[in-house]
Amino acid sequence: MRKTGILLFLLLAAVFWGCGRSEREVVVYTSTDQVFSEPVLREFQKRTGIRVRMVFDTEETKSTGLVNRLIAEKEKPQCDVFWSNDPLRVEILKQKGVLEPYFSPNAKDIPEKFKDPQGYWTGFSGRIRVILVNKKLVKKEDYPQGVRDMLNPKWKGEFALANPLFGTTSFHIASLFVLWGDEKAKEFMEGIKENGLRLASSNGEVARWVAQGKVKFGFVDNDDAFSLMSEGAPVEMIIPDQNGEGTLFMPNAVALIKNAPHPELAKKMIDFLLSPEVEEMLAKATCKQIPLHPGVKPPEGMPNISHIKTMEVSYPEVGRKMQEILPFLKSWLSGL
Amino acid sequence: MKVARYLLWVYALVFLAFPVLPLFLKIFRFSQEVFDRSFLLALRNSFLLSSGAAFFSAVLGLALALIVGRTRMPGRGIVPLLLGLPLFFPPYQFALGWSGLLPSGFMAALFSLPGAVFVLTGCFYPVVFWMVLISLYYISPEEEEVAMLFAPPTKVLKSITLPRTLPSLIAGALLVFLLSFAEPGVPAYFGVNVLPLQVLTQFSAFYNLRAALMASFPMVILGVAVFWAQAGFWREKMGWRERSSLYPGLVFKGGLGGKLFLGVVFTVFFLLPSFSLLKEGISALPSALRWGARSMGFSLLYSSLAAMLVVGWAMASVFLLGKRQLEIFSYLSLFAFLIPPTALAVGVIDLWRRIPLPVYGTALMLIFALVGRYSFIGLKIMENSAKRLDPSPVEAAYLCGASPSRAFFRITLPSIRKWVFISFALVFVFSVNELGLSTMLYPPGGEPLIVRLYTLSVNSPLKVSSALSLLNSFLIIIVLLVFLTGDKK
Repeated sequence: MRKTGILLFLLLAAVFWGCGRSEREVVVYTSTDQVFSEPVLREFQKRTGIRVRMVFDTEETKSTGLVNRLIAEKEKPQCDVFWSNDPLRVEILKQKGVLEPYFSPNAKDIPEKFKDPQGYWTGFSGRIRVILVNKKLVKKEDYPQGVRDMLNPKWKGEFALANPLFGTTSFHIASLFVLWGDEKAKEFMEGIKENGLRLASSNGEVARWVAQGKVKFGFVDNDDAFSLMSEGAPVEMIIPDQNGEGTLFMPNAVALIKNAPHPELAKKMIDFLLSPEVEEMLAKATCKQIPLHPGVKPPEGMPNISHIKTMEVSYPEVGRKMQEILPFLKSWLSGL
Repeated sequence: MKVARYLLWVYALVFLAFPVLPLFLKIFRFSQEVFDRSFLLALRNSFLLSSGAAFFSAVLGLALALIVGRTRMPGRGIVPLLLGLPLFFPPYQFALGWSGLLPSGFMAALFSLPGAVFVLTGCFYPVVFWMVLISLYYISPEEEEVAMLFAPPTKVLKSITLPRTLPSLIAGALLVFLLSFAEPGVPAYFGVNVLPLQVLTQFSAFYNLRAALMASFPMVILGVAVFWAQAGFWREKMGWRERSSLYPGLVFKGGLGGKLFLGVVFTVFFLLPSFSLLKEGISALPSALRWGARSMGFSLLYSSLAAMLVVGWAMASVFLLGKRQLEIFSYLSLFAFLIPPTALAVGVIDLWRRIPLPVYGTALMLIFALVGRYSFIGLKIMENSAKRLDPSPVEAAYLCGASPSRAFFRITLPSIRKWVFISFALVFVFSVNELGLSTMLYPPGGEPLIVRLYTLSVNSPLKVSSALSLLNSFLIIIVLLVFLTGDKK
């Protein structure tokens, strides 16, 4: 009993010892994959001597665990900076009153369409939606070229998409609704369902299915594709709809939290994340993110952003549309 | 004693009632839009999935426990731990394992409700197996030996042994039912629409806490109904006595068939699905240790503290409180167990941000939430042990002038130590693998291993995530081995 008491005391002491806070620290919540975000945040710590305390999100919670956590903590935030892997989640936080505006001097070269006009968030390096093809199963001349290939009967039951209620797939589908209008987009969604869409729970799963040959192609983000290609999987990446409406570009977005415990250090972190050096780091990492600063070289194997035809959509509008079409998507899913 | 009882109530209020009950108030504004066709389908699937997993786990767990606990087979010390291995891995990892193992022609069979039942049975049968095995260990051997003078062993098994294990079997199956009901990872992977996915959709797509709580309400109602229905099995009191070589009780010879069955179960439910994890992960263990050592420490800290608090509270509640108070605690802990982890996390944040104690923003928030979520498991297991405890040695100690606390620590605690172990083990294992609460509550910079495993698994090579998964299981096995070794000493 005495031993148990001592053990309990030591464990509690360890918890309280670990609770120590310093004034020279900044707390960053990020939904960007840990393998890519952690080295960047460590670099900031190395350069400035400011301790970075990180909280990461997981694919299992559809990378929205932190958004829910930020909403729950709104009255007494622990976080200083939120680094989101897309601009839609920060739009939601903006609407919920969780963010504070900040215009970083390092963002002046970033095109206006990737920034919130009121300064609540700023975009930087991004990903695009791509088609991942199993090159053992599909001949090069037959490669699908765009989203409409999912309607082609020759691919019946041979293609996959992640659940459109979550993540970048929801972003992609909402963008199609904005571009095409509700009627045409709904017709498209019913069409792919009839053509035997294989629904996966995440982009990572779509990529694995393509690599394992369980489907011939699927829609994923370019970082999912590059991860598999770097492991030597028999897959190839195609940038879709280059002769049509273009592919979806999804920048990262960084935002300052309202009533953040360390606002000044938070601004330093935001300035750092919006610097060309960080875009360079993210371009060189295996995620091969596409930079937005004009002077930064694009990643190997990817064209410059100016050479990719991207969908002309406004992110706040896509965000609003996403909320609007969720009930439709929920009922669409129930028939699968 | 009075102070101790007050402390138990403080625990129940702070960890169970205050974070959970305000959440229930949020769902009073009824909204019909949550209960659409998809929701009803999810409700049906959830019920079928949980019932299936509970039924097959009960059958498998009972068969395995009888082979291990009632035959003279070698290695009886290590076999329970080996057969419990599937429980140490997050169920989602096994779903991935099966999907990688089977050729694409079998995809349709696996990606279905029966496929999800199969995988969850494989993950959760150790709960039933362990509980039944321990109950077999404690059945009074004299009863079986006397019965064997007049009846053949199979009749003794049917009329004495099996009825004595029934409460543990039912309690284990109930736990599996509730665990399967709350599991989102496996059904999501296999494309089965279940209630936890409806809850996840409301949280993660609609960001609507109230709707998520409403979607989880049938889980609570059904959980309470199942709990209430099985309560009858706990009423009968039975004398228990530890077995010894002098009084071994009913023991079968146990031939090749039994060993073969154990081997098949171990292969099908552990070796096969974990094949790629083991193959890929072993080579990357050194680098995974570098990546995950700190997080392993955090996991150990959070989970062991949570498990110790739960076991201590459950034990004290069972032995100090009256029936009525214990029932209130059972229902409070059941609510906290059934509510979705993300909602519980919101409740915990909402509570501690108002209390001027140095808890908000620290690891204590996560520990307290784990305590709240898994108190039900601790309480049920300790109740199971206490209701069957032979009261005569304690009464004898009282007659000799022993104080209640001395009698408890000298007589009662040693005789229920195996139940204490199983209670600690289950709460520890579930706490280590708890992702929903961890993501919402871990302190900045204090990332537990399960979060690291899932954040790294998306874009790291398979071997790194496999190795991290193995580390997660090693952590559990090492802690349990230390605990077991301490028990033997």
